Amino acid sequence: MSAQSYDTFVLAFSDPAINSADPQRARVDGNSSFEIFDDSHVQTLSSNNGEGDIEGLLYVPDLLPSDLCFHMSTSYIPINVTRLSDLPATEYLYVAIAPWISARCALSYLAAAQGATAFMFYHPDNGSSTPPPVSDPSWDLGDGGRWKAQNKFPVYAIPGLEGAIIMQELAQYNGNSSNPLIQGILAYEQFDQSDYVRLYTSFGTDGSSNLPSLWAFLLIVLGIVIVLIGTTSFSMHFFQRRHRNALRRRVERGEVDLESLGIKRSTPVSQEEIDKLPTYIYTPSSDTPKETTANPPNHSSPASSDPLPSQTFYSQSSCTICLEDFIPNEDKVRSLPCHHIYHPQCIDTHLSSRSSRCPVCMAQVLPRKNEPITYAMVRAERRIRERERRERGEDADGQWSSNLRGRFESGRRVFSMPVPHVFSGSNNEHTRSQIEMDTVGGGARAASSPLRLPNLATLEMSGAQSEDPRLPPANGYPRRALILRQATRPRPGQSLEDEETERWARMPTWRRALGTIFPGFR
Amino acid sequence: MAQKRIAKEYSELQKKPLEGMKISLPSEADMHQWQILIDGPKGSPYEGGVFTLHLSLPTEYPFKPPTLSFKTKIYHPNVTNDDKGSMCLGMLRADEWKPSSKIDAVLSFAKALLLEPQADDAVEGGIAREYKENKKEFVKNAKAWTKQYAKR
Ligand SMILES: [Zn+2]
Ligand SMILES: [Zn+2]
Repeated sequence: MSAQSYDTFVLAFSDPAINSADPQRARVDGNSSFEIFDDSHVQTLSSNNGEGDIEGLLYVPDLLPSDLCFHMSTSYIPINVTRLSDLPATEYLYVAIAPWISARCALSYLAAAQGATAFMFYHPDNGSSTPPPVSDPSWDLGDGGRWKAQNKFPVYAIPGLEGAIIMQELAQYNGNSSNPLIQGILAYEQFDQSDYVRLYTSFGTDGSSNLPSLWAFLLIVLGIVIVLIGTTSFSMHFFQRRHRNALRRRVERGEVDLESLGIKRSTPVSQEEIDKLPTYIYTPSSDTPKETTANPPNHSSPASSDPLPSQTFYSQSSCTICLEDFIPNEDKVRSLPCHHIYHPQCIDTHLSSRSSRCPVCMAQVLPRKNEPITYAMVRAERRIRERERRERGEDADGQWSSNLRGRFESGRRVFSMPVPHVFSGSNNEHTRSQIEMDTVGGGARAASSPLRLPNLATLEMSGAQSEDPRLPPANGYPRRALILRQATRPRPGQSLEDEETERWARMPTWRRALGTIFPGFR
Repeated sequence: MAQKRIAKEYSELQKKPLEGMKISLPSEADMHQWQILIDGPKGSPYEGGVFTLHLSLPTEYPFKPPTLSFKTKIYHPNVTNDDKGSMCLGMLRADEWKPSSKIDAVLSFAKALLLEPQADDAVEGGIAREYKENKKEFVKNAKAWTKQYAKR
């Protein structure tokens, strides 16, 4: 870690060799002695192991007299400056200081300072300004920076003037009590006359004020990236949500039928929802059917307010699931919103295990609310709508009916073989009642919500009896519904939902995570 | 319930057989497997042939659709040209199936398909293309296959 500041002051301390049991230390007041504190001109040359408190008794490393630098340094270093031999040998940390005379001498000093906690250099001619940064050629030791790895301690640089002053003071605060300055301090601080008074240096390596450099920059970049991702993700979610809500509203209003468009798999009905569908005792006569369960909230009174139930009871004499006739006044029957009736055990199995639609007329049993709408549905529905718009555009020149009729015809054959109408013999009594049922059911639904896409059974009937005023117009929604159905039919037996789930399961985890954050990215 | 309904439908079909179809149970003990012999409909390239079909009714019937397969090889866009000979179309699809649909409708559907293949919903793309683009060739091939595989 790099240093932000350093503090060099006078320290009085007991000789650990004599008084190791109770070591005494006292910082001598700088006003009456000497202190340099600088928190704005320290340059870090090497931050090796520069962690925690970096401090120690200050000294000048000894060079061998044979070293040329020994002689070169004499003009910068007073003769009686504090050397390692002037300091107690045990239990103290040491900080080395030396002038940066040349690259070669710097290497000599660094080599001589092994065992120090830090090294302080100064350019003797640098003045009082901040030393140049480590990248400056004046610090180049000609080894490509290898010296940093070789020295286990951090290396700092201080202004030249401060370095020169400290060097002078290192000669003042040295020696024993025969030095009057030392003797006065020891007496004043109530130390033993055999104790020490020396310069002490500590470096401030405050981590947090270090931040404005590279880390802060990285944090800012990271922050911007996070904010960008966040806003993108948020707006994608927001718009998708709006589209989903819009589609949900249209589904609730009955303008769209996702299941018949092949977008949504029909959902099995929960037992709770099934229990809301009323059951009656089957009565073949025009007597009011006896109700056996409480009225569900959406059918306030099916027997009295709605004329259809009794009619239904006449025309449907058997259960189309088990094909058994209803036993009058004995069999319990469940009535769906479309007024088709079944044995509860028959229809409940169908509803709970297969589909939320009436097995005869495919009318929806569930209230069209709270349907989970995924964005894939939104896109599929939009695609269908666009295709349909295109088709309508093409047909605007009068080709409309012939073009569409062909599709309608083939669609009818392909996708729904009308069970009784086309193939069964019409002498079959049971079948005829089914046809009546379909007509009645379809008419009722068309009348109650004209916009809802009619089911196929109704369409077939409307093809056969288009003069029936209760049925949807022959050139309105029904055909459109059929075209959509045909155009978007997914692979057999599979809905868009299944495909989507499958695709999602095949994706690697990171793609899934990405898809969750950026819902449009699929 | 499946057993009862299947038995009912079976006896109904025995009493009032569909035209050009013979229905039997390969094993009297298993009501879920039916064998059907269909005469190639008049006016179709399959005329003169007799086709063996296999109808398998799932235990969940009528909630799940039956599966229909041709045991006799047939040149048809909607029947797979393998040893399964399966036909998956329209009402027989899991998502199209209604429990109120009956087996007679399924069989009538199969027969109607012999009269008029659904090339847009084909399982055999090559045959479908031929049916749409070169009907003559299709009829020729279908007739040849009928002669070869569906002899009386
Ligand atoms: Zn029943
Ligand atoms: Zn119904």
